[in-house]
Amino acid sequence: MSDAPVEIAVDNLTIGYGSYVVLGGLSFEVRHGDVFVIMGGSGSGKSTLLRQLMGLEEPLGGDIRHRGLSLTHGTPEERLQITRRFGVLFQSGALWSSMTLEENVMLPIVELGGLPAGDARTLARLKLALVGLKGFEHLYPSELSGGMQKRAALARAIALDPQLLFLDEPSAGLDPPTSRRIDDLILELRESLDVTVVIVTHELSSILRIGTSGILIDAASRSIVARGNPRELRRQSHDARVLDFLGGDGKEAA
Amino acid sequence: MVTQSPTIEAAPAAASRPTLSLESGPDRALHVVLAGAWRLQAGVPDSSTAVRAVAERSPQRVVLDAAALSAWDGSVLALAARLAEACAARGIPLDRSGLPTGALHLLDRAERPPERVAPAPAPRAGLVARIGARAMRAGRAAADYLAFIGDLVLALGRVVSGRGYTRRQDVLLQLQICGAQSLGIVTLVSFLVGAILAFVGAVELRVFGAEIYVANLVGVGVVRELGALMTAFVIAGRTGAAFAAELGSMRVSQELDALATLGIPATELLVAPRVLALTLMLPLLTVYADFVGVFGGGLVAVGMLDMSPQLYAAQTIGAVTAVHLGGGLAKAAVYGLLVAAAGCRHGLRSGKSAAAVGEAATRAVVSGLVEVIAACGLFAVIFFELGW
Repeated sequence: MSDAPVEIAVDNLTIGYGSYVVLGGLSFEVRHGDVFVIMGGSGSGKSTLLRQLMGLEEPLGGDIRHRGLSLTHGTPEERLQITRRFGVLFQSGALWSSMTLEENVMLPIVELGGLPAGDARTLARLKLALVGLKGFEHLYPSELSGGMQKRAALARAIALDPQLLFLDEPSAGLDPPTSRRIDDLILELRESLDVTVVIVTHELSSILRIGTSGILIDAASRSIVARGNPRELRRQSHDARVLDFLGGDGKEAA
Repeated sequence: MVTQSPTIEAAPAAASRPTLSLESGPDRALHVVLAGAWRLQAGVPDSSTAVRAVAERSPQRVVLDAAALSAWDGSVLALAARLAEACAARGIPLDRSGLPTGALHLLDRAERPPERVAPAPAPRAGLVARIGARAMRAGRAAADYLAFIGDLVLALGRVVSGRGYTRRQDVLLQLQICGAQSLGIVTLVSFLVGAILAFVGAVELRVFGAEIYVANLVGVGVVRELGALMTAFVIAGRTGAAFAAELGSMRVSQELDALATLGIPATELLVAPRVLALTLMLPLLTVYADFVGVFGGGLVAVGMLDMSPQLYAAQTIGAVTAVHLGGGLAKAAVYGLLVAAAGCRHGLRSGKSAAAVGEAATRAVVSGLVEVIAACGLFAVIFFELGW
């Protein structure tokens, strides 16, 4: 296990709706610098768990601590202090439809970044260029394809250089080359800006390419069935559920 | 399981103040020196100082010196990008090799040409072209309106003849939404309208000693005009907007496209139940509103004018005729049809964004109100000509 500081500590977390438990007894840590992958089949509760880690939903029990501060039981000020460190890419992109791409990315920079307007605009354009949308700044989200919307949403997620980046299905709807470019960007952000990434994805190639640690959750047992580096899990695990998900034929993905 | 970890306060690598200074080097080089921790949200120097210096000093070259940077993020990238623009505009070479390796990688990535070229923004059209475009839009909107009416008539015809895709449970659900769930707000508005009408009437009629005719004023006013009109206004704001928002959201989530691919007309499955429900329910709501309005007026009359409840009731019954009641109900049915059609039409024609759905709801309410008022005026003329 890495010696890096713990960014997120999840302790005995139970999540669900009313009396229905989606996942129970979850305990794991995300360490600084990880690309932490939440893996699991459709409907296993991956996205719900991600929303819990971001504080968008209340758990039924347990605790989530970000750098020692409780997201679950903290004061509103503490929760704000925690969430200001986040950048989030939602599954649907969630771009603000009444704003151009540039305005979408500029809004957090201007409102929270403290940069002068000229620098904020330059930075917004640079972030869009990083995701391959140079020249598209003046367009509205409705004028873009789904994949381009996803990339613009990623530019907004990294607008303030967050310390923690949450990505919900970043590759969904993208062609393989674009998906690889997004993977490269995630790795580059991690290297350059020391970002810790928590990612929910189905894309096996992405999981094996960029994941440094992770958990596999299982809908049937409603719990974590495996944890660790996805590549090592694929090579070493004898659990049928792990091999079923990661396709454990001993070969590395490209 | 929970491991001790540093707190968020301890997380930043360095807390030294970010600074930007300009130094002149040999060969007329301008050195832009960055030092300290450059962090967004913590505040950084304005890069305009460096950009202005490039313009004013016209140096031979510009050198970015970041050796004393203790922490950096996008704020440094923004500075480097602005300097690059300023230097490129004047043909001055920029040496940014002194930036952290990670920053150089990100800048290189951002400068790669995109795989696709964005469409250029459309040039602003001239006045004549804009007027022409607006006239054509208006023409298309009118044609679209007529097409919707045609579709609706055909859909209602198929539904009535039992050949449509309209589902019985949808009609019943809409009847409940339009009817029972609207009773609260209809009660409040109708009661107040009746009471206000009686109050104004009492003040004016008292001058002529004709207070007793307050019952006539309230009875005829509410039953013939205001009951249906105010109920239609309430329903346009409540239900018409809801129709537009619901159908608009269905367009956003491609539910309407799913129907189209199956060959099921949205006018039959979605619009017809709403139009039928509101056309049937608005007259019933109006009858209820008439009673509540008359009751509200009665409370004022009895309270203010010392009129007995029996006298108020007798006067009202004497004044209100079957023609008033029938006319009011016929108007209500037409108002219901107009409000429902406006809500559904704008919902179906909504754009595919959250803002567009909001706009569709607004347009539905405005169209509904305007059409109801126009119909009210038309009814007034027709009834006058008929001597009713």
